[in-house]
Formats: sequence, C-alpha cells, structure tokens
Amino acid sequence: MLKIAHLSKHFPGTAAPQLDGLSLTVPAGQSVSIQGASGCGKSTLLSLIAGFELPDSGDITFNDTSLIFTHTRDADAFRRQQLGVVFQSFNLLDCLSVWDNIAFPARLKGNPDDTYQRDIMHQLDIAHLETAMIGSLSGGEQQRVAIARALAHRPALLLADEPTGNLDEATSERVTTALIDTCRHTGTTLMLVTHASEVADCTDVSYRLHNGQLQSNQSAVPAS
Amino acid sequence: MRRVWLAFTTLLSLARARPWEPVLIVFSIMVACAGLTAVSLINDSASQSNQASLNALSSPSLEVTAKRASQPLTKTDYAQLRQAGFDKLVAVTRNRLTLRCANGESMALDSLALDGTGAFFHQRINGESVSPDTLPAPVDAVAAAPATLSALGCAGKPLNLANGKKLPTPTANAQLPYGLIMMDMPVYYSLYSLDESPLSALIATRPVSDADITTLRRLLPPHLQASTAPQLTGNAQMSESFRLNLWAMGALMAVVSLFIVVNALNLMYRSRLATLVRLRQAGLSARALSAALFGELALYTGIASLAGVAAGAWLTLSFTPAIASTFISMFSANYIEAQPAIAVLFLKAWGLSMLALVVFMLLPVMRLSRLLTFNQARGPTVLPRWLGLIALAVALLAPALAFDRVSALAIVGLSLLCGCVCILAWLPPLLACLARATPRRLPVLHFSAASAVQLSQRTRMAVCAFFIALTANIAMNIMTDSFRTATYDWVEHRLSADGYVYTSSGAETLAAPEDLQLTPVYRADVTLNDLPARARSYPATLRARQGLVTDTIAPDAWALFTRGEGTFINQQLAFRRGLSVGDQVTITASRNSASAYTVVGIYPDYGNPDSQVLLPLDALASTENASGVFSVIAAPGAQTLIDNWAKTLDEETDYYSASALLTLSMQAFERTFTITRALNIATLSVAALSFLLAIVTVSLDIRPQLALLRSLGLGALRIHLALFTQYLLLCVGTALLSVPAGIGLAWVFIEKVNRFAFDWVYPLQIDAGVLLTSVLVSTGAILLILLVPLSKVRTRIDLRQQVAL
Repeated sequence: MLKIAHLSKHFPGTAAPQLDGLSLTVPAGQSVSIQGASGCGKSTLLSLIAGFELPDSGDITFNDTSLIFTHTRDADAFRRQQLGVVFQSFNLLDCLSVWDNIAFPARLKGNPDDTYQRDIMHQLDIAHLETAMIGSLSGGEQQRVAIARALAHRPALLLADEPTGNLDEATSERVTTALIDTCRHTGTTLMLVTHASEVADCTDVSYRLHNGQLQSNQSAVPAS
Repeated sequence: MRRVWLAFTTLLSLARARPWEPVLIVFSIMVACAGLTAVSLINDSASQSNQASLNALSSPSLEVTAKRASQPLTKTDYAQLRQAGFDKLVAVTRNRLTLRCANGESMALDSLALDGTGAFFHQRINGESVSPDTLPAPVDAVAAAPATLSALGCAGKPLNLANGKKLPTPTANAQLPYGLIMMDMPVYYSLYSLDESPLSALIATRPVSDADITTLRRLLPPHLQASTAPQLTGNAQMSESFRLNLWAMGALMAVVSLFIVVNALNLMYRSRLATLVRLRQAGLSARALSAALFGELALYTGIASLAGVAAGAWLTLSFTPAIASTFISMFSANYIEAQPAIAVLFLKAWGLSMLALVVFMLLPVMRLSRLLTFNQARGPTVLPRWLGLIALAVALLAPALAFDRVSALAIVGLSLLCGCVCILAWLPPLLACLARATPRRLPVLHFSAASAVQLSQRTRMAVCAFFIALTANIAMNIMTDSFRTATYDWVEHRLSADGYVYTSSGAETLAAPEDLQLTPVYRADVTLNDLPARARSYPATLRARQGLVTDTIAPDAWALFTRGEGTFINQQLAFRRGLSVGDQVTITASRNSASAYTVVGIYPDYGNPDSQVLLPLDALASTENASGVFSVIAAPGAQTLIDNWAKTLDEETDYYSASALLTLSMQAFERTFTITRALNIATLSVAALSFLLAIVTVSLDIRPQLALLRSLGLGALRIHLALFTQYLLLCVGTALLSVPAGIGLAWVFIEKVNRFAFDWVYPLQIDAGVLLTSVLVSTGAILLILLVPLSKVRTRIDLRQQVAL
C-alpha cells in the first residue's frame, strides 16, 4: 500500500506551492491515474514518490516503509528492488538490444528470469523484437519496451509519467491497455500521470491535481 | 544577403545565450595559433642559428687548423695559402673573454676576431711594419647581439677586459648569436699578441669545390690539416637532427592545431543542431546557412588568431633564455633570437587556420546546412572493415617507395593516416566483441562495454588523436631504446682497450711503463674512388677484432686487412656510395699513391656524419697523421698501473678509462633525445585535449541515459565508474591497435627516416617493458585528464527527460 500524507513541495521562484498538503492512499495492486493542467505538479508528485526529489513536508510510505530517505544508497536500493519507472521519452539504452534493455533492471536486482521476461514481452506484443536494437524501433514499440523494462524485475510499484504522450491515438490505446493489464496480472501498484481522459478512464481510480491538492474524478471527494 | 545576415545574427544570439561555446572555440584556435607561432619563431631562430653555425663565422664549409698546439697556424701560413690562390680563406681567432661594462657584472663571452677587411693579411704581404695599434679601428669594429649587450648592461659604452684593456664601444647586430662578441682582427691584436693568442683557423668565406679541397690538402704544410663540413665537430650533424626534430614539431603542431579546432567546432555545431534544423525548417536555404556558419567561423578565427599570435610571441620571447640555453647546451652551438613580425605571423596563423577549417569543415558544414529533420542528423556510421584492410595494405607497402628523407617523412604521415582509418574501421567491432564476451550477469559492466562501442564512434577525432599520440609515443620509445641498446653495445665493444689517452701535444709516442701497451690512432683525410672520406687506423689484434662490431663481414676479412689488401667501411660510406662486401675501391691518402682495397666488412658508426674507412696501422702511420689518441691496454694483473701512470700525465694529456668514456657517450646520447621526449609530451597533450573536448560533447548527449540509470537504482558512484569503464575500454581498445602500429612506425623511423636522413641504421629491438610502460603511461595520463569531465557529470533525475536535440 502506498500512503501519502500531507505532502508539500514548493519550488523557488514560483508563486504557489506545487503540492500543498496532498494526501493519498493507494491499495496494493490498484492502478491510479493523475490528471491535471500542464505544470500543476503531476511529475513532481511522481518524483517525490520515486525519491528523485525531497518534499518540504509530509510523508510517503510504501508497505510501511518511508520513502523519504536520508541516505541516497537507501533510495537507490528502493528503486532497484521495488520501483519501476516509465518515462515519457522512453529513455532506453540505445547501446543495448531490446532483450538486454528489458533485462537490465532485473539483472541489477539480481533476479533475472528469462521465462517471466518473455511472458511480459508476449503480453506487450514485442516478443519478436528480442534481438533488435533500439534505434530500429517505432515510438510505440519503444514505449512497450520501456514498459517491459519497468516490469521485468517484478517491482511492487510502477510510476508512469505520460507514457502515451508521444504516441498516436491507436498506439496509445494499445500501450495503455498493455500497461494496465500487465500490472493487474503481476499485482503491481500503478500510478500513471496523463493528459488523456481515455487513458485515465482505464485505471481503477482517477484523480485530478489542482492547486496542489488531489480530487477524485469519479466524485468531488478528496483522495484520502 | 538579408537572409544570410539574419542567420548570422541568429547564430551570434545563440553564442550570447551560450557563451561557453564561442569561448571554447576562440580558446582552442588561440591555443592552436599560439602553438604555431611559438614553433614558427623557435624554428626561425633555430634555422638562423643553424645557418649561422654553418656559415663562415662558426662552422665553415672548409677550415684549416693546426694539428697540434705546439705548432700553431701562423701568419706566414695564411699568406702562403692566399698567395697560392686560396683568397677565399680568411683568418679567425677564437677566444673566451671576460668582459665588463663600466660598473656592471663580469660576463664570459665567446669572441671571434675576423680578418674580414683583409687588413691583417695585407700587413704582412705588403711588407708594412705597421703595428696593429696604429691601424684605425674601422666602423663596427666590435659587434654583439642586442640580447648580449642587454645582458652586459652595456648599450653605448666601451667594454673592459680582465687585463684592464678596453674594447671600443660595441654596436648591436641582430645577426650575431647570443653570447658571442665579434671584432675586426686588428682590434683584437691591439689587445693580445700573437704569442698570447695565435690564429685559430683559416676559414672559407665562399663555397669550395671538391677539386679545390683536394688541391689545398696537397699544398698544406705538414703541421696543418683541412676539414670540410660536415666533418667539423659534428655540430652540423646535430643541427641536422635538431632541424629534423623541429620540422617534426612544426608538423605536429599543425596537426595539433587542426585536431583542437575541429574538435571544438564539432562540439559547438552538435550542441546547436536543434537550432540549425529549425532554421532550415523555417525556410532558410542551405547556402545562406553555410555562409552564415562560415562567417561566424571567420569572426572567431580572426579574433583568436590575433590573440593567439600575440600570446605565442610573448611566450616565446619570455622563454628565449631557457630555449637558448637548451640549444647551446645540447649542440654547443649559438642561438640567434628571431625577431617576430606580428603581421606576418598573424596572416600565417589566420590563413592556416581558415584553410584547415575550410578543408576539414566544408563537408560537415554543408551537411549540417542541409538538415531538415533530426533523423537526418544521426551519428556517423562505422567505416567498413575492408577499408581498414586496404589502409593496412597501403601502410605496409608504402615504405618500400621511400627514396629520400622527404619521401620517408611523407610515408610516416601516410602510415599514421592509414592507422587512423584502421582504427575507425576496426575499433568498434573490437569493442563489440568485448561487449559480447562480457557476462550479462554483470549488467553495469556489460552496459559500459556496449556504450564504449557507441562512444568510439562519437569521439572519432579524439580516438584518432589518441591513436596517433600513442603510436608515435610507442614508436619513439622503441626507436630510442633500440638506439640506446645499439649505441651502448657498439661503444662498449669498440672501447676494447682498458682506456684511452688524448693529447694535444701532437706526439706520436708516449712514455709508459712496460706493462702498458700504447697503440696510437692515426687519422687522415683520404679520397675513396676520388671522393672525400676519413681514414682511421685500426689494430688487428684479437682484442681489437672482437671489438669491431660489423653488419656484414667477409670470411677472410682479417687476413686481407692484415695484409693491407682489405678495408672496413662504415655504413654511411656503404649507403652513400652503394658499396658492399667484396667491392674493390681505390683509396688515396694525402701524400701516398693510390692503393686498391677490397671492402671486407661494413661496420655501424652511429652518429658519425663522415664516410669512414679503417686501414691497418702501417697504411697510415706517420707523424702528420698522428691524432694524439692512444689506446691503452694493461698486461694481466697490471690494472692499477694505469691509474698511477695517468696521474703522471702532463696538462695537455688526459686519460679516460673505457667505462668513463662509455658513461660520457651515453650522457651525450640522452641529451639528444630531449626534444624527442618533448614531442612525446606534445602529442599526448593534444590527445588529452581532444578527448576532453569529445567527452564534454558526449556528456551532453548521455544525460538522459544517466538519469535513467539513477532511476533504476544505480548509485552515483557506480554510474561514474560505469562511465570511467567506458573510457578505459576505449583507451585499451585503441592501445591494442596502437602497439603493432607503433612497432611498425619504429621500423619506418629506423630503416627509412634515419637511413635517408643520416645514412645509418641500427637494429630494431622490441622490449616488452618499454612497450608496457609507453602504453600504461600514455593511457594513464589520458584517463587522469578524463576524470575532469567525469567529475562534472551530474546524475540528477528528471522525469521529463527531453533528448538534447
């Protein structure tokens, strides 16, 4: 379970805080989407959860472990063991093949599982690209490889920042479906940031970030 | 024109927004121009010094001197030779004077008194009994270089000698070398008598033909000898090698400049790619964009060239005393300070920079200005491997085409160029093999190895610079080590006696205890097949035979030699005249009739500029051929006798043990390779700078990847280690290919460059320790430099990573 309590973050030079006492509880295995206007703080929220940034105040726990780390090596260990991240710009390692890209986090963690990896690749319809180099892939294929990479080491939590932002509508739908279905299949908690309503509608719960606070899209009830 | 101006101003706006880009370009060109200027000035100075050393003042084409101090050159000798028709001969007296200006410090200077006006000669011939004191001092009777006068603190004042006498006020003459004071001979002999300071030599003021030299030698009285350049002291040989080294430095600096500037430009254009693509997409034509890019280039080059020339000139002038003392100590030759003409230097530096940039940037700039999408700007593709094979074949076959020094040096350049092609074609596949062999269970190492493949393609210029630096480094170290080993071995063998005595008394014999065997060495100027050569006597004892190292030798060599029918010739003579063992030659000594000899052996004679033959003692034994050198061999058990006997020798006689001579020889050897070591450092420096610039460029591109690695849980230290591993693999891969290239280049240096430059060769010796040291030191130095950009890499994670384009 992911618990966020009274999280605040203010960047110098901006008029208002990006996050202002935000709270959220995400049960294990649930998929959550966060929508909002550009610059409202969606990526900042993901960065704080992933430990890329430190909040000004508040707390974030995952499975009763605080994600506000005092030592970078603890943050690194959390990312290796329990976190997967999907970037908007894919961020694949273009010097490695598709197979090696996907296997990289699992090898870092020390639990590479070729059978499991192939299973994920089948689900994402990229099994035929095992030996291909990244430069030869289309945008949709690259994003699916990025999703596979984020899942191959069986993370407990997956963060996806605009995973379909660079894709066309049809590909976007396929990728979203593959991402959410795979997370459901593996029991991974998914937090997804998106502009697209149709993507948000595919998740279990959808929120809108506004004025530093989360509001449920299903109702006017706040997130926590 | 309006569109070109618009593009130009846009590029300048970019420069204002990212000032480090133009600063880096300007700095790079400035360094390049400063280097070019410094080397040009040093080259000019050295050439002038070299020319001065070869002109009539210091090392003339022909010089007549006394064989022994006890029988000096006299005015009568001078008069007789001039009357015989050798009016090109001019008397000179060389001395070392301690001079002082009015209240200034004393300074010891070389002095040269010259009978340039002929006044000294005419005193005798016309029978005038005019004392030198009554001769009017002609204008410019005493002259010295401006730097010398400045060091004396003596502008416009007379000079005092240690004996209390005064010299007329010297005038400044920029053509004179530093540390020399020149005067008209009557002025000199108003200060000293002929008994105190006899004439030193008669020098030729104009070129003398071989026929004249032969005639002169026949006319010379027995106590005089004639020497022709490059037989004189070896300064000319040293100057030749110094000039060769300076030419290499000049060529190297040009390549250095090119690498630095092109690398910096690549950096700038790569970071501006997005803007250039957008300008094209907005409708700007490729031609207008090219014109704007070259306009910007010209602006930076102009600013940087001016600053660079000024900096180079200032640096050179500041370091002139150090450079001069290095030159003087290395070659015992004087150093003339070149006067910088800033306008000429600027035009040269700017012109060369623009030319090089146009040639090497024309295609990339044209390509850049045609880009319409980012995809079109994809990185360079790998050169096909077969191209590497062709380059290798050319490098292997080209040395066979060398026929003189210039072609040999051109082949060195061609070999390095072919090596670069091989590196670009084979390094990526080599690294790819390494990546495939790296176990996947070590994902970070595997990533580093795979990234190194891409890195090698993105840092082509730097890889080539490092390859050239390392190859040249390895080649020079192998060459130096081979030469050192060959020289040591050769000198050690040739010094077959226990010691050697040198006397200037001119004696043909020396008194010595019975248990000491003294053998005189005779030397003479001879002609071999009517061409000049030097003859030296050589004993045929068993010990001496063992001491003569030969390249080739006839089976019955010593039998023929002992009978006076055979002669050993040095490599220089063999190469120059195309002689080999078994050839018949005719040797004519100065007063003997011509004798026929068979070439029975060819021996190495490293560093000797002369063609030389060895003859039995009987063939040369005469008082006039006595060189004043004796080999000393002690009877078994009588070694201490030598030391006791050496203490009894007079002032004109010195004894050196064989080991002492060996030490002295090797010390002289090490001094001559000071410049080679400087070249090594220079090439490594450019490689380091190129790598630095290339890695800075690449660092911009890999930030998204680094952020990704951080997001995957890789710590900052491990990421830095991964990057360092990439650089290490790149350097190791390049080093693996540089080792065989360096060995090949060393062979070209020895068998072609040295052969055609100096007419002698030595065996190539490959020492694993030398190779390993070269590779480790060079690679280590580069990796240390690369720690600088590595330490500046930030692995901050930004979820919204945008590609640098």
